[in-house]
This record gives sequence, C-alpha cells and structure tokens, in this order.
Amino acid sequence: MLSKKARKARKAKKELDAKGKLDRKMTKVCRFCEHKELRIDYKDERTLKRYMNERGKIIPRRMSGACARHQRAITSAIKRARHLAILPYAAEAFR
Amino acid sequence: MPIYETVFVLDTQLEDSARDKRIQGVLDFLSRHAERVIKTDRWGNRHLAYEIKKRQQGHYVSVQYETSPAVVPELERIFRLDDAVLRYLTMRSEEKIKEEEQITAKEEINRAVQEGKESEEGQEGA
Repeated sequence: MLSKKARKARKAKKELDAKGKLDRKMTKVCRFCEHKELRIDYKDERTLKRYMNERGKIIPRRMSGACARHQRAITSAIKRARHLAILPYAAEAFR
Repeated sequence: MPIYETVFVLDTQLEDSARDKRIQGVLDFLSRHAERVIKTDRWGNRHLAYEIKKRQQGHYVSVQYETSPAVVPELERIFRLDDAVLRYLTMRSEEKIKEEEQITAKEEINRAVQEGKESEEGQEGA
C-alpha cells in the first residue's frame, strides 16, 4: 500500500520520466513512506546500519532519501541502539 | 495500562547460574509488580559494538510487559545497583498497543455484523 504522498511522488516521477528529465536522486521517495508496513526499530541492527556510513555516522537526509518524520525516527532509533552497544558510536580504529 | 519493553545487557563473564538467577529475578519482580509479562526474549551472547567495562560481549535479554508507569523506575533501580548489568533501556512500545486495539476494533466490527445478521434473521422468522 502506498501513501498519498508516495503516490503523488511516484506520479511526478513518471511525468518527469516521460519528458526524459528524470533525476533519480531528485525524486527519491522515502522507503518508510512507500512501504507502510516497515517499522523503524532500535533492535533492528541490519536496517539501521544502512543509514550509517562506515565510520558509524548517521547518513544525512539528503543522501538517505528519508522524509523528515522517518529520518527523525531513524536517528532516534540509531541513538537508542548505540546506547545498548548494538551499533557503534564510532567505527573502531584498526587494531 | 501502558506496555513497556526493557532490554538489558548482562556481563557474559557471569556464571550461567548467576545469570539465570538475575533474569529470573527480573521476571519475578515483574510478576509481582507488573500487570502481566507479555514476552521474554533472550537474544543470548552478542558482540558489543564497543567495549563496556573491558567486555567485548554481552548477554542480551528483552522483556515486554504491561504495567503502571511507577514500576519502571523501580526496575531500573535494580539494574543500576547491579554491576553485572552493563546496559539497560526501557521504552514504551506503541506498536503492541496498536495491534491490540486493531484486534478489539475488528472484533467489535465482527460482533456488530453478526448482531445485524441475527436481528435480520429474527425479523425474517417473525
């Protein structure tokens, strides 16, 4: 099921595509808006890792493609996971 | 009553029996003070993302329970006093509540539908 917003974005994308003006980065739709059943959970290490770079930093919204609400949820989930040592605060220096 | 989820991390250098005793202690505390314990999930030993008290590994346990908010700080006090608890985190879990609400809503709809049918049947019979 797509949300209204996601559907609208999809439509806009299609129109751009038809005109041959599609820029993927420009019309990226938030993954969590697109798939309503997806939940952001601080225990879900694998999903959250996708929103971190190799150094353990949280990837900014302009690169992650998440909408404001979901980016906020991702950020707080990562911070919770960090507290529980599920995710690192910073990537370990090589030993 | 709100539903909470607590995840705590125990020292893996603890003897198995001592560890089980602590987990059982938490569950006993909850069964005494909480409304009900919904789920306990032992993730077991996991690699820690960073060292805590010189430990590389931790034993993760998660408990989901329904209780009045006053019980939560009491539980956290137990964790704080115990050196074998490396980390703990308590969150209110909204999800479970929503699921339950959905179920009750569905049931209500079903009941309404059935009642509607029954009344129809009653009219036909009369």
